[in-house]
Amino acid sequence: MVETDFPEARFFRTLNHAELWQRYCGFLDLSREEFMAIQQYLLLEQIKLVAETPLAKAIMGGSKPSSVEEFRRNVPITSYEDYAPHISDGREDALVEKPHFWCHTAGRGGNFKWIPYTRAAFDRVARYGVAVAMLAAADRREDVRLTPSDRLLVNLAPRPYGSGSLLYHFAEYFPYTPIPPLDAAEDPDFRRRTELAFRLALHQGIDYIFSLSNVLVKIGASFSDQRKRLKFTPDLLAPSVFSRLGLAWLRSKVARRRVLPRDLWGPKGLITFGVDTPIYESELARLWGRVPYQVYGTTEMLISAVQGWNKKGMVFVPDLAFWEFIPEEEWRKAQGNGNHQPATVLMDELEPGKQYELVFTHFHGMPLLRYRIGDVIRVLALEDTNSGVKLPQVMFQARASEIIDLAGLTQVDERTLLQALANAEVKYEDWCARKEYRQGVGYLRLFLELTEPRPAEELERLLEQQLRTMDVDYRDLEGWLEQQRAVAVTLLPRGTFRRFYDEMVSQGATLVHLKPSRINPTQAEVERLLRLAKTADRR
Amino acid sequence: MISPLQNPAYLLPPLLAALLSVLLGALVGWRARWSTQHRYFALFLLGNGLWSLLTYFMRTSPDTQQAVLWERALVPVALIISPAFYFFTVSYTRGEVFRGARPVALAFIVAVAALASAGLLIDRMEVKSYGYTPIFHLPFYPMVLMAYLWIGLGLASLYRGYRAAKVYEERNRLLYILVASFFPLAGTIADLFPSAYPASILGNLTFGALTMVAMRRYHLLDVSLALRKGSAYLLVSTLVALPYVAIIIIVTEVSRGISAQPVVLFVLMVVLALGLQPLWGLGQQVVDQVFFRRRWDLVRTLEELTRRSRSVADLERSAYNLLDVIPSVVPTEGFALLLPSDGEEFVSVVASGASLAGLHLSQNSPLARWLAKHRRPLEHYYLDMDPLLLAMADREKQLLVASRAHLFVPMVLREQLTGILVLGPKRAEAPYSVDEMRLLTMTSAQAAVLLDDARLYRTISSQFDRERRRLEAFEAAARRLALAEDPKQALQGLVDTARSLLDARYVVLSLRQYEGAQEEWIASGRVTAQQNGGGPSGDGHGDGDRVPPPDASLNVPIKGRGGSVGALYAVEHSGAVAFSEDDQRVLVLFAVLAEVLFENIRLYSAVEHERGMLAAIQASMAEGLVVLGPSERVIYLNPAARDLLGLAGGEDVRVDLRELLLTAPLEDNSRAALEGFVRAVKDAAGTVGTAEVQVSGPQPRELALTAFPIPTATRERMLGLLLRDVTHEREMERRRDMFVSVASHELRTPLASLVGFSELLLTRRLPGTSQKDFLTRIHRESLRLAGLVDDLLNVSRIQSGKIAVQLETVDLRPLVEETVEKQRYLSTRHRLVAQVPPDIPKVRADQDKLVQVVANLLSNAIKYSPQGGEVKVVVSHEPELKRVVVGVSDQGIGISEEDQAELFSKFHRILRPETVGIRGSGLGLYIVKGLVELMEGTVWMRSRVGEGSTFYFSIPTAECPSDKGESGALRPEVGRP
Repeated sequence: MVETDFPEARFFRTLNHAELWQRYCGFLDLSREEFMAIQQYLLLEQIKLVAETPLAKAIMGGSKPSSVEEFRRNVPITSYEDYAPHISDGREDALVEKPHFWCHTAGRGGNFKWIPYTRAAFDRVARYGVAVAMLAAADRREDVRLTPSDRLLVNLAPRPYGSGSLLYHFAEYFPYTPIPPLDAAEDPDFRRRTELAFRLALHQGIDYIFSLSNVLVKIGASFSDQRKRLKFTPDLLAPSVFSRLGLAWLRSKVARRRVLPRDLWGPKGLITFGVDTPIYESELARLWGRVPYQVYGTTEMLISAVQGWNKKGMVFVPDLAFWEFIPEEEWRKAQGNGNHQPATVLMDELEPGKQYELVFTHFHGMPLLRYRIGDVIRVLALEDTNSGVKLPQVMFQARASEIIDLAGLTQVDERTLLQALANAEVKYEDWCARKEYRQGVGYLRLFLELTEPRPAEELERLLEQQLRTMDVDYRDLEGWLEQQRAVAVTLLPRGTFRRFYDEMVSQGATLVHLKPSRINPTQAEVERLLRLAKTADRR
Repeated sequence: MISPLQNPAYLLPPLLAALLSVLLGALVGWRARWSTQHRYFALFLLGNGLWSLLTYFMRTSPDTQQAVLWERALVPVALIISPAFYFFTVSYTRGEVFRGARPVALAFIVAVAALASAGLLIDRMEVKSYGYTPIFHLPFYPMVLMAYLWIGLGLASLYRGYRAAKVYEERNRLLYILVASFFPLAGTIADLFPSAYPASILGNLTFGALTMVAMRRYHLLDVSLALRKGSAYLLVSTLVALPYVAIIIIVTEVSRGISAQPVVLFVLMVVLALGLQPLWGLGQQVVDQVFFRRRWDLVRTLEELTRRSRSVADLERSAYNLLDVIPSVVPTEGFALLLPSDGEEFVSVVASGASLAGLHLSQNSPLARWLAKHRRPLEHYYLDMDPLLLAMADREKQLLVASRAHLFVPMVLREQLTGILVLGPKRAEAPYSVDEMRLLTMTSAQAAVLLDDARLYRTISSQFDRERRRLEAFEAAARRLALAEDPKQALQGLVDTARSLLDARYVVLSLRQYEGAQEEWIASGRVTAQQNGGGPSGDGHGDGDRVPPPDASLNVPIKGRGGSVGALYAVEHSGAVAFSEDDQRVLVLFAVLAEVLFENIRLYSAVEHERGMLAAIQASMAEGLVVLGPSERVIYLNPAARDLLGLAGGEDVRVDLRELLLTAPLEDNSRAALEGFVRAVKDAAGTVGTAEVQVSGPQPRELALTAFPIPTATRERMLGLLLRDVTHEREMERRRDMFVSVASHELRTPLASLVGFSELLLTRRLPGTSQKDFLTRIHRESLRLAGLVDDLLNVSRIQSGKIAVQLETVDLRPLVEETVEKQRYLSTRHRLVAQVPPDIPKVRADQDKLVQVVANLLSNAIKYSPQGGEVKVVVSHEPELKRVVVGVSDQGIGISEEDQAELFSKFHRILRPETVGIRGSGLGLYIVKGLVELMEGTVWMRSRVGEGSTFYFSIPTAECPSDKGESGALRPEVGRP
């Protein structure tokens, strides 16, 4: 295929940098009023588009709202259960058009959530995909470094998961060079996929990396591990590999350190997922030579919010979904009363420093209406004066189901614990945490597999110290618990999480079940961990 | 042979190149304050000009020493302008300079300057066949390579820009500069070889010429206008100067040798100065028409558009004018005018080309917002670039693509987007030029004004028509309402008219006090049960369904005297435009009408009620009432007055009083008296007067009149006459007078006898027979006197109801016979007979009263048959009526029918010549009647004048139950006269 066959690539031939920036990143320069105008316009278009479909009629009760207010007033907040009867297992008859593709994510109970993507929606997702790459590599406005045929290393879940679907179909729009190739990227084995990717990267080089933060940290950390040495393979003799290794060695010598990934590849952009990205930001920059660039996306909405070029807060994209936000007090009410329909606010009503649960309505013929995805975001500021972006700056906080509430006084989520562990300089393989009860009082139980042994009591003390420092409300919790500890640590022997993974793989578990959930793992997962821990102890 | 150093072909090119470069540099530099690219290019051109000028000086040097000096100056200039070229190209193509470009350029300039000043660039000059040629030092070569590098980078930028250019004009501009740049580059390369002809200056000249073409034709750096203007002024100056110079030369030659030449020349100068301005204006006009043809076209286009759109009312005409005018000045394949519709869309009202005809755009579309915000034309490729436009829905994008719309020109008025001119592709797929965009922008501005005027006119017109129709409908409704007889029908008509005028789904009128009902609803329009809050549904037209609209769009209260009496509600059609303020005003008017109507109904009802009461009162008045207006015209006559005046039912009483009185059966003197009386009262102005008149006719009457003035608000003099029938009163008065007279006489006569005879007895010694005779008379007169007094007492008791009757079973036979016997003494000339059947049943009566009745009747029979004769008492039984009838007949003078009617009333006496000597009080028969009626009997008589009379009375038999108790409680009717 020639370059002009890729819809997004042709612009790289005809537009200069300023124009490219305007096309792909110009949404960052929208004012709040313009943002809301786009939202409202597209919402009304969406209603016109889907109102006659059986699915929308079921959700909207047959009504056809003619205004945003009417839509918000008359259409209830929905969950996947409302759509499952219509679109589960790839059914298409209730949709407005035949989807371009389907992707899914596994629900908690193992029921897949199938989400259809229309061509019109993915056209825009692809455009934002280019924007992400452009912004990831930019150091300032109109700093366009992306070129067609840039090499993109991916080690995310393959199709039909969202990340795999995104990258697979993105290749129809932009002629990037995927590493590994798309067919190899379909390999469900994560390790095999990752190893192949980096082996190919040694040959071809990398311009962009799209990965989970902790994976990149681990890979980077393995470079730092003095015990690890490069295994000799015939591959290393290939001229490209040899020259790359040589140059990397030279760079490391000039910098007087071990070889780091940045010496080998020096990617233009580092695009990362994961709540731990802010925690590993400096480490990733040290290892890979680029400040990681964050994107917030889910299977239901592949790209929801992106950072600016200064890699600070994220901004919601204006023309993929209509965004609504449930204030914290409303979602608490809804937790206590299952029948309570929480009220929502819009983008122009957000307040800095507050947390909101996300609700969105698809545009461009996609099916979800006022869909409560269960994600919580925090508003950092209403604008970024540094970059001149006048839209609210947000960060992904946690999944609503992955927040542990302790005595109603404080909330602990994955990010908090990650930060606490990082601040306490705990070296670990993996962990998970859940709420348990002692004499009727809730506390946090942390199951931790260390890479450097430390006593559990010391860890409990350190973690509490960190939580106390990080969270004012935590101090109140201690008072509540009186002499009892709010954090209890259960140390797991080395290899417990690895064996868990291996056991799940051997049982054919889906991706999401290969590891226990970090927050609130199921009882079965905890029991499996503890059983495997005992087995490890006996070995 | 000309020396190469004197060859014009050798000397002229650098001079021309210098002039051209400096001119262009000045033009570009004049706009340098606008942008960086202008500054860089001006620097480059001026540098070029300097280089060319120095080259000229070098070539005109007399020897090589001087030439080398100039060469040492011009070579650095030639080298230094190369970075300027690079920076210009990068700036112009909006590219990015390479990192460190500026420090490198600075370093290069410094190096060149340093080497040049040290004389390390040029060694010496040599003279060749074509002219001077420099011999370079070694350091020159790397410097020139660097310069070539700068130029090469610049050319690469231009090439990249050329490839990226989307606009035809832009591509041509860049192509010209690209091509133009090769010439000096090639020339300078040739200059490096001493044996080659110095072609760089030719290259420079070519570059200048091509740049000028690019500027002129393709608006490079937007200096074409300045270029054109400069050329125009030069031409104008030449046109003006030529004749002036010619005239001056001619006059100077002609006046040579004339002593007054200075004067002549002075006068000539003055004349030429005076003619300068008009000549300049004429020249400028001619030049402008040639040079600024486009602008003339624009002005003519706008004039044409204005001329065609003379009628402000014709919106369609204005739109079609645009359709005619625009494609004639801009070679486009299609054109459409989009105007806002009633829905929230811009729709194509006129279009050429089928693809644009169906184009429509949401008013909230990002495209519309962009045009409203930026207020400048938008080319279609920009839809893929601006973030606002990128958010456009696929539906609209596909519509735009299908319509092949290439250019969108906003029509903005009062900061609002009032329309969009959409142009299809330009012929031959060329891009729209800057001039064309300007033309379209100015045209759209004018069109916006014209269309807005037309729209405003149409809106105002239609509003005016609408209001006029509403007023007419309202007037007609008000008229109908005023004339409606049935109030409810009138209200229904009101509600129906309101619904029609408002084009409402339904209109409901609720009244809380209408006809005393708790609440009444009158509706117009189809109402569903859901709207009715679950109440009755259906067509509420006039049937009083309860249709309270819970969410009425309009709600206007209706006020009455006592406060709110209801409300008028209106509900618009679902999905229709909401009611406007005008609609509310209309509904308020109808509410006012309803209020007036309701008040009228209330007043009418009240008036009718009052009138009814008044009529009833007047009809039940026993007194007659006549109301006279001004000029004694009868305004009102109540039934009693009509009856009292003896008027028949059919006369028109609204006549003059005189005429009315002529109609009434009044005696002449009474008529005249009445008229005089009325006049007297009127003249007396406000006093009350009384009079009496007599009305003759079948029922003669005596009427008492009371006249009284009736004050009016209008100060009209009205007079009221109250007529009271006093006939009975007067009759009673006359009877009383008569009774007094008769009673006095009846009392006086026996008293006179008593006094006389007793006086005689007391004063005289009379013989015993005379004494006995006198005492007998005294006894008799005393008895008469006693009887009279008894009669009076009886009458009084009967009238007051205090007379008691003791009912018992009485045997009539012995009673009648005894009474007849006792009355024999009254007359010796009469034969008294009693006929009582032996089987006559007993009666239930008061025995004493019965005797009194029989005695009275016998006494009257005797008195009123003075010639004597038979007086018979006949008793009969009427078993079917359960009564006994006693009849007392005589053969006396008889009684006339007129006397018969009053015979049983008080004080009535028969006044005929035959009765002159007959003494009596006139109370006897009244007493008989009263007593008989007390005993539940009846009295009647038969008589004829001259044939005697028979008086009857009936008494119930003893078997018939009495309606009085044994105690003899009185019937209430007894005692009434």
